[in-house]
Amino acid sequence: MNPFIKGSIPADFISEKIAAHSSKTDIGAHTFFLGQVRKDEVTGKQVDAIVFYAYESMAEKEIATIREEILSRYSLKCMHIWHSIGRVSSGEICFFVLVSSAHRKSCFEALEETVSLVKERVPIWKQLILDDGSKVWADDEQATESILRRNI
Amino acid sequence: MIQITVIFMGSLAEVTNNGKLQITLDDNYDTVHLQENLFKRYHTLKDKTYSIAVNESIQNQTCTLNNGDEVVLLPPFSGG
Repeated sequence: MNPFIKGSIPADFISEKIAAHSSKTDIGAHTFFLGQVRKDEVTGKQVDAIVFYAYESMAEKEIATIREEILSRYSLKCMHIWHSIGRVSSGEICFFVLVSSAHRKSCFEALEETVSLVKERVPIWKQLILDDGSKVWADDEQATESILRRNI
Repeated sequence: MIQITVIFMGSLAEVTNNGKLQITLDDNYDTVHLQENLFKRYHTLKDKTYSIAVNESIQNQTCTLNNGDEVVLLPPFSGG
């Protein structure tokens, strides 16, 4: 399954994915995480949008590996990961993880670990678009040190 | 001689002013030799933090390169 969505992840998409599980009546709990683009301040300017880039072939494999690892470690019914590629404006959703199980405990734990593993292991990069039109990479340590610290 | 493709992801594409490079190298070239070669082409690259993937697999140790390999330089990930 292709985990990438071009641009922001709309609310309709999220509700459709949740509704699609109504036929799986052994599910008793869903947890989900939504990553939203923050209007951070960088070098005195505000972030208007983020453009996400990925090494897509490797990222897709790594997301599939993370999914298999999580499904093998926790008692889950299913789980899904979607991530935006391309431009997402501040206030819009860029990352969606949905975890489903019979009971809530494994759902909460699996969700937390999945989000951390995606951030740590999937080759995706952010380019920040600032309100004066300038661009800065999130991995540019000098320009965005404060942002990276907050994102850990 | 072998021919490989080097791809610079994220911010590294700007450091090198080049997203993709085809290079012909001597036989028995490894990832350390390749980085020395790239540092000569792109002087500021040696100050950057990155990991190296060969054919989509991250290499934590020196790895010998083969004809047709795709080598990708990956700056620290910032997805999510």
